[in-house]
Amino acid sequence: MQMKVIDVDKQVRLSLTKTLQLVLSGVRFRLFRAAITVVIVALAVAFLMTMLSDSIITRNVAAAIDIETAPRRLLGFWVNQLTSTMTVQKLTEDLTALPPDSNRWKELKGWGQIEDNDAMGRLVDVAQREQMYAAFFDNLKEGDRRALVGRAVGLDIFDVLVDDEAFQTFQKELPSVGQLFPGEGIDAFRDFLTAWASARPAMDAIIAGHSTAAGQARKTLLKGRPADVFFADEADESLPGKLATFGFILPNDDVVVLHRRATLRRDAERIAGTFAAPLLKQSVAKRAGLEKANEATVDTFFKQTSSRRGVKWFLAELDNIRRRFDELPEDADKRQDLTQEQKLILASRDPLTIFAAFEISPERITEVTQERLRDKHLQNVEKRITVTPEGTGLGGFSSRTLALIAVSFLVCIVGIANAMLMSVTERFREIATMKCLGATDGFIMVNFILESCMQGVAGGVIGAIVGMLLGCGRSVVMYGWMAMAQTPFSELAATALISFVLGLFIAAMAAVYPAWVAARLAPMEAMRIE
Amino acid sequence: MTSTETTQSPNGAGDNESRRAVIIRTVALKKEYLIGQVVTYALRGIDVELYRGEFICVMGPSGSGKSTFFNMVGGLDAPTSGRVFIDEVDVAQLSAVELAFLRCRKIGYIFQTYNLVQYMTCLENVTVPMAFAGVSGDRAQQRGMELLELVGLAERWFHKPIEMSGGQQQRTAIARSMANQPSVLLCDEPTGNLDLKTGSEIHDCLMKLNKQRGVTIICATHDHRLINMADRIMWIRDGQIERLADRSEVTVETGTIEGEENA
Repeated sequence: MQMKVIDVDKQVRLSLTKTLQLVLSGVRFRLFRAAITVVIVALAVAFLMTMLSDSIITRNVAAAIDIETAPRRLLGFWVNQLTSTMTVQKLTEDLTALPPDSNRWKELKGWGQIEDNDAMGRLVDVAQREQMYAAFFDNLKEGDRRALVGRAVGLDIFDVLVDDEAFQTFQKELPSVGQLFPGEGIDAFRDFLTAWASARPAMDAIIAGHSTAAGQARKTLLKGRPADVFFADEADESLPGKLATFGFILPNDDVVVLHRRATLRRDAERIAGTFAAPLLKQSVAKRAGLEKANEATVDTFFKQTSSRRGVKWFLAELDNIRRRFDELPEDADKRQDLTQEQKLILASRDPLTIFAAFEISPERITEVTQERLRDKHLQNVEKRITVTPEGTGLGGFSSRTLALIAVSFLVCIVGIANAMLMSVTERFREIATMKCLGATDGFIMVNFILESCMQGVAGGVIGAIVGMLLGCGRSVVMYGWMAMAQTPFSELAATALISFVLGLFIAAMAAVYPAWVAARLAPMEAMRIE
Repeated sequence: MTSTETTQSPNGAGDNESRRAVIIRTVALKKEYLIGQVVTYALRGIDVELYRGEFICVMGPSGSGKSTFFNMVGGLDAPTSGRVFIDEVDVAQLSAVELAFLRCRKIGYIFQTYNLVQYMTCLENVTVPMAFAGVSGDRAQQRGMELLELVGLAERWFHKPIEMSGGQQQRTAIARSMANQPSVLLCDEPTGNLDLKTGSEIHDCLMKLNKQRGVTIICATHDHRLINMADRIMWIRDGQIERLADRSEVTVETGTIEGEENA
């Protein structure tokens, strides 16, 4: 018998636009179910985006703060250089992080009168090993440490262990402590102890050298004044030269920075000095809306005077108070029968007179108070950043955060798959009818995946926007204007794109199984009667 | 639509009349279902020839294998053994895509529950099978409107199924089944969900298609008036053909029911 053959090539594939139209009309019909999927995707994407944008902004803020606070650190370093004595502890810390031939390297080398770089390098090496072993002993429990080295703590431990008998006790007790000993075994430690003992004289020489140099510098340059006042006065080119005579190396570029910072600090202190006047304190508290004058702090004071209007008020208030000085009797200082008010006026006289002598211009007051507020803010932000440490994993996240993100996406996949499966069950008759009308398995599959993709697009866009807003909002709350000033928009946009694509991808992935179930549905299901 | 034309099968009992040409032929058609450990025999060997242009009604109690027979003949399911030829094409040999092709162009389906796509308008529903057959926009719309005119729903082309009565929905479904000019219409209880009056609209529609367009209609039904219009009637029981008779050999009474309804 003869048979006809079907020419399959004639079976057309539906164009993408036609399929899209069909899917769209379907989605519009089932808006509520579509909305659920959209929300699920949006939640997952928003969560990721919040985390990402927050971390990006935090990283940028941290970098910005590092730059912003550099002058403060520089001044702190130089005040320290000139006024305090080095300890072995600090010296080893210093040495550990010392790049060869840096300024600090040269300074230390000079003070210790160390001839060549090799000797200096050996010192650095010993210091690095010392840090490693010191960390081990620091982390030990009190009892364990006693068992190993007796009463010694800190650097003394190494001095104690140089003794043979003590070392043998240490070696015997070490296994019972049960802590992993750092470095390459006990012999390496013994080598270190020898090296440490021989390096100590050189270190002591450096410390002594620095101490002498700082002492002489104090005598010649500071002339008994605080170091920051010295830097505030001296801004000339000769400063590095003057310091160099004592072995300090100050780069020329730093002179201006130091001067600016030091003057700022000095002027801030002078302005804050007026706060010692009880009458001013009273008016500041009043202006800030505080009930008691004692509640007002120096910070309240600076906050009140940071604006142009604030400074105007401040200067007017100073005039007001000064006018009242005339009410005082001539010999007010010596009299015992002053009224309470007179006492207050008297106590206010000296600080304000001193302040007037400085002749600080209103513009300068504004500048200083604003700078001071900025400093305060930077400090706050700095504290907040250090209390939220993030790991070094993917995207700068801790593994915990990464796990959270992964779980949120898994939940998202399961949620979408479930919603789609329900949709397939609900629409079995429609699907089967379509198959009766000539739809191929491929069409049904594409249909469902496209539907999910559409929802993924909507959810991804919503999620990325909401997440970015949330992340930025959180950063603004945490870091204030720093977050706004340091928002890296291009980086955020790229991240939003990545989150969006990820959401879309997940929506498509989640739809694969339900789509497959739908495609497998037998066309005869269309005949079924409920 | 099919690539080659063939000579008429000699056992088609064709004589000289073209309407005696065989359109569907089953040979020892068997279907077994394995449910758990138990094998159920839905069809126990059916040999039947259905002719082109014929109006045949299939009757049988539920569980008789009527639905299974329908699925086989409609290319919706593969037999366990035996063969089904639809227009001389062996259905069992076809791949999934080929089956889709066959369902798209050779067979029109009419369901008891209409099965219109709820979110599409009347006209869109009718043009869905055309899209699968590659008939594009304007031509599909034009053809869809012609078909809607044929079933008398041209003015309601923009209505959604939910806005139409059962009879109108079923007529839309009939128009849809005719979208790609199939040679066979498979109707599964087409009037099962309709009252007698609207049912007769459907009868008229089907008769019109059968007589004017020469479409072969295979209709599973218990509706006596529909049986009354058929050329042949086939009874299936226990997976076998119990009886196959010409209309003239059967007495069908319809008057009393109709009379009651009209009263």
